[in-house]
Order: sequence, then structure tokens, then C-alpha cells
Amino acid sequence: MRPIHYLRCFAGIANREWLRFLNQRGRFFSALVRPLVWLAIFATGFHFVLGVSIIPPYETYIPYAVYIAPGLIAMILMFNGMLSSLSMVYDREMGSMRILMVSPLPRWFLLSAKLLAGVIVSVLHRAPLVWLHRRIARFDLVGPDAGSARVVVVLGDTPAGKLCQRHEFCDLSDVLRLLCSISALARQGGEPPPL
Amino acid sequence: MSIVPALAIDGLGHRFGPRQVLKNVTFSVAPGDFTVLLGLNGAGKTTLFSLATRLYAQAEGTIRIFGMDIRERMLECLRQMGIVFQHPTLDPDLSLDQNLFYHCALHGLSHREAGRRIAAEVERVGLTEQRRDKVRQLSGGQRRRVEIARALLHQPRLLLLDEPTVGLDIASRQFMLDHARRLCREEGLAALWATHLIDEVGEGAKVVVLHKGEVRADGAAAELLGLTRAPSMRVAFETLVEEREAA
Repeated sequence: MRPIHYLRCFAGIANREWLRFLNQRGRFFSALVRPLVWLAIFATGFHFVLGVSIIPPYETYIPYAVYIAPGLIAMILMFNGMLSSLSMVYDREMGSMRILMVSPLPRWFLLSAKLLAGVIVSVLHRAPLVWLHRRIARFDLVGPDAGSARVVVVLGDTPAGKLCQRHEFCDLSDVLRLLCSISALARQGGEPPPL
Repeated sequence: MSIVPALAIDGLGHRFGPRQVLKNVTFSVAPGDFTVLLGLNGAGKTTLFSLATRLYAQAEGTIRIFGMDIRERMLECLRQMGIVFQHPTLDPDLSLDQNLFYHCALHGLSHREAGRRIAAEVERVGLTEQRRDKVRQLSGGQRRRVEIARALLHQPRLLLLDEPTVGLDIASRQFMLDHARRLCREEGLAALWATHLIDEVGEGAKVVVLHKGEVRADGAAAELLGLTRAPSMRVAFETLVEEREAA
């Protein structure tokens, strides 16, 4: 088995994941609905409440709709990750996993190919969300376009992601901040918390 | 014997926990042979197939495919094997073509070569018109035919079929049997056909009788009839199975 065989095998597995994804229209929309509801309802509601003011490292006011961009992208990726794991369970139940197992390529390769195929489908699925998000929240992506198949840069290609990267504990402190804000909101009976 | 057997099983044993499902199983299948592995439900046929296809890790004994030990050279062995599993393994949401292309890709065939072979194999099983249909829309018999066509796409030299005729009507069963026999006769494939249906043992087939994980008899159909002095294969099988139970 030469590298070309490995490549063809990977292409076959990725193609199948893609076809399965296309066959499940419901999966496509249900994965989009949750982040969009978040964007449409929560982001509008929290618009004046939550956002990142002009404190270092931020150089400009970050509206909440932009601020949650990486979170929503992570949400869609996580949802897709879970669904592709489920599809492996389905494969096993339906027996098609056996066809994969008796392929004359090493099992480590088959597993990696299957996982990577899931990643590619997720990243492609993310593109429409990013596109919609850009239309709604009106922000520009930094760096290569989000539709490209860069895998690691889940957070890196949005302004908020860039800022998060610059400030090491930003994500952690932001989570705490969000939790504090929510608890403060609850305590004050709906009045906006001090930011 | 000078010819290297397509499949040589020697002293194979397997247990699920305390239950021994295969005990010292030894037999071989020569190229061009149509061998029927005859056994009742639970005799260990599927376990044997799972071991031969490396779905289960093997503990006792050896399995050799064209002289290669499956534990040492698993990938090369798998390349020589075409497999039809007992349970359906087609993806029902994909079309017939997509399923077959997927299989070809798993074996590293190029798209063009795959297309050529798929066209030929699908025509041989008479499903050319259904190529774009979803597998879900095909009948049970058609699905089985797709599976046998798929097993041949990478041009294996050994065909393993685990109860391929279960749930099929008489015509489909006959088609599957004739197709497999023709492959052995004309293309020199070795086939191991597991079944519990005694009437599938035809003229000139080799028979391995497996019962409760043990090989009870191994030889040509005519030999077994002679050995048990039985008028039919059914009586011969019953004799072989009961023999040691009484003892």
C-alpha cells in the first residue's frame, strides 16, 4: 500500500461523511438553529448589558454579538463533533463499521481518517454560521476566511478570538465575569449589573 | 500438497469468557474449491469468520491465508479476502453506487478503475438499473447481490460468505449459490460458504461440518455420504452431529 492508496482511502471516508451529512438536512439546520437563536435573542437582549468595554487589551468597544462569535463557533463544532461520534455508533449498529475494519489499511489510519473527515465536515458546516454572523453582527474576520479548512483556529479568526489569544487568561476571566454578571443580574432582580 | 491453500486453519480455538466456542478447528480450503461450512445456529461459524477477518483477536491456533499468517501480515491477508457478512453491512442511506465506490476507496482503488469494476460487477449480478437507487429501496435479495458484487470489487482470491442466503427466496438463493460456484469454477476463487441449510451443499462441494465449536467431518460431499452410509446429506449431517452426543 503506497501513500496514494492511503489518500484515496481517506478521500473515500471523507466523501462518505459528507454524503451522510448532506442526506441529513435536519442535522444541518438543527445545528445552526441553536447558535442563531443565541445570536438573535440573547445577543440582542444583552446588547446594552454585556459587552467588553475599552480596557486593555481591547482597543475598542466589543459588542456582545461579536464577543460571543468564538463561543457560537465552538458550539457548532461541538454539536458536529457529537453527531459524528453518533454516526460512528450508528455505523457499528448498522454493520457498516465492519467494512471499514476489514479494509487492508492499518486501523490507526482508519480511525484518524474517520475523525479527520468529521472535522472537515464540521469546519465546512461552520462556514454558513460565520457568514450569517458577519451579516448580523457586522464584523470583519481577521486572517484567512473562516470557510477555509484551517482546523486549529476555531477561535483565532475572529477579532474576539485574536484578543483572547493575546491575553492568556482572558477566556477564563471572561467566563468568571459572565457568571458574576448573571448572578448579579439574578440578585438585583433584573436590573443591569455594573460592568 | 504442493498448492498453497487459500485458507488454512490449524488448531483454532476461541472462548468468550468461560465458554469455549471453537475447539481445535482444523481444515483448509484450496484455490478453486467451493467449501461449505455446515453447522447449526451457534456452532461457531460466525466466530470463525470474525477470527479469519481479524475482527476478533485470535488466541489459539493459526490462520493462514495463502501461506501468510494473519497475525503477522494482517493487511496483506485482508487484501486477498472478499467478505460477505451474515448481517447486512451496506449503508442504507447511500445509493448502491456510493456504497460500492466507498468500498473501492477503502481498498485504495482509483475512481476510474473503481467505476470500471463497479460497472462490470453490478452487471454480473443484474442490478445495472438500480445503481442510483438508495440501498434502503432495494429488496433483501438485491442487497445480498450488491454485497457479493462488492466483495469481488478488489479482486480477492478468497471469498468468505457467512450465511449469505438467510432470508432470501428460492430464486435469490439459487442465484447466489450459482454465482459463487461459477466464480470458483471459472476464476479459480476459493470460497468458504457458511450455512445451516443442508440443501446448499451441492454436487462436488467440499463440506466441513462444524458442531458446538468442533469439526465433525471434513471432505467431499460424496465422501461424507459414504462415511456415514447415509442416503442423503441431511441424514449424514444428523448422524455426524448426533454421533458424539450419544457417546
